[in-house]
Amino acid sequence: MSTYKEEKRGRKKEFHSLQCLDGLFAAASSDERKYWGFLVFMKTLNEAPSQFASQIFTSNLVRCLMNQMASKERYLNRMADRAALTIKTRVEKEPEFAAAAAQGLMGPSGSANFDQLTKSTTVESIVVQAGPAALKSIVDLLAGFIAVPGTEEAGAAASIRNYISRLFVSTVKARSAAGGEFQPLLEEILFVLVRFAYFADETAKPPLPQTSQELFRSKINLCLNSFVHNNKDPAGVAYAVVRRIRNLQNTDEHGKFIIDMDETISESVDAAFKSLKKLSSKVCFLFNIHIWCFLSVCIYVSNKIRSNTKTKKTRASRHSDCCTL
Amino acid sequence: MLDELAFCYAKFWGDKKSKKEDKSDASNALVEILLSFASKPSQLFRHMSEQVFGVFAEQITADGLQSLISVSDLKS
Repeated sequence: MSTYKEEKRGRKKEFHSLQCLDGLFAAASSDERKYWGFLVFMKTLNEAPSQFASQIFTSNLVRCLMNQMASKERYLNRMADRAALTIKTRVEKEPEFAAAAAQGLMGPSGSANFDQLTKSTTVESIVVQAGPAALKSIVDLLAGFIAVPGTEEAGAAASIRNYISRLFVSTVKARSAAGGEFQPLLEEILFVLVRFAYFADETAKPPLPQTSQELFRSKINLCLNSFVHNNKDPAGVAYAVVRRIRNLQNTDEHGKFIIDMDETISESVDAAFKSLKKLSSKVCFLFNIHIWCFLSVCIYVSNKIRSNTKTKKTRASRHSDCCTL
Repeated sequence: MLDELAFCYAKFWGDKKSKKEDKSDASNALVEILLSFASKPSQLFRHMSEQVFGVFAEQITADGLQSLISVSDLKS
């Protein structure tokens, strides 16, 4: 009972502290009080345990941070930059804090395009340094922003989605060599991109225009390129991506598949998947599955399949393409 | 292109009774596919063609080598 009372007392004290801190950043507060507020914020980030520090991103604080970082002309701009650096330092020391930091800066208190508004790379630095558990929660957060960027205006929505796709690519580039616990998370990132690149997901409001979908397909290519470049077993990821597209196409889980394929191309794709399935079940993966996964996934994601009037190139014409390098 | 890949796959791994001529046809087809990938602006296609080429290099025939050389000749 006494432990419960102590805990309750502790939580009240924390709540009171947070209310005081948030009060320092009220719109009517003087610059001097906001300066104190930044000092308290940085001290908390440097010293407090993560349970308390994760709650420090109050709405007044984050709003003030964004406003002051937005322009070098602002009186507390340098202080705000120091505060942002302190967040990044905390994440460097404690990668799992990235989830709280990302949620704080982009969530209800902040903005989905924090980095764009503040002309910084604060959120990007946090996301690429996130630990595995934090990254899982961040991927879910960012997927939510792609679906519902928080604005109905098409240009603004596209800008936010574009920014988040860049965050995903940066994360994959940073972690593609890591393997281990990060591999399934990087696959999850690719699955999110697949969901919006190839399917008319009805949860997306506003719906993604064709330009955004094409952009996401190019981001998938960039991510796969990172795996080919950095990873010992890129074929596994490539195959997972292609299989995911195939499964979603069959189930319509995220809406209708947007790529029209005529019967001839569909038959070729079906045959390719049968070959991939045979290869994946073989004991000796060796190089075989690498080759066929790569070749198949590249063709699958290639924009050429989109066109119904795709002309079948002869070998001679492909050879002449190459000769015009 | 998928059909040509399927042809290559069948000749290299599918059919154990493939004749030497069929395998060399498959090798030539693969070289041409990889050359077309190498010509694309996409880094993914270019990196992939490099990796795949490394695995199949020992199976390249004289015709395949000729295709590669003729590209270099034209460039220079």
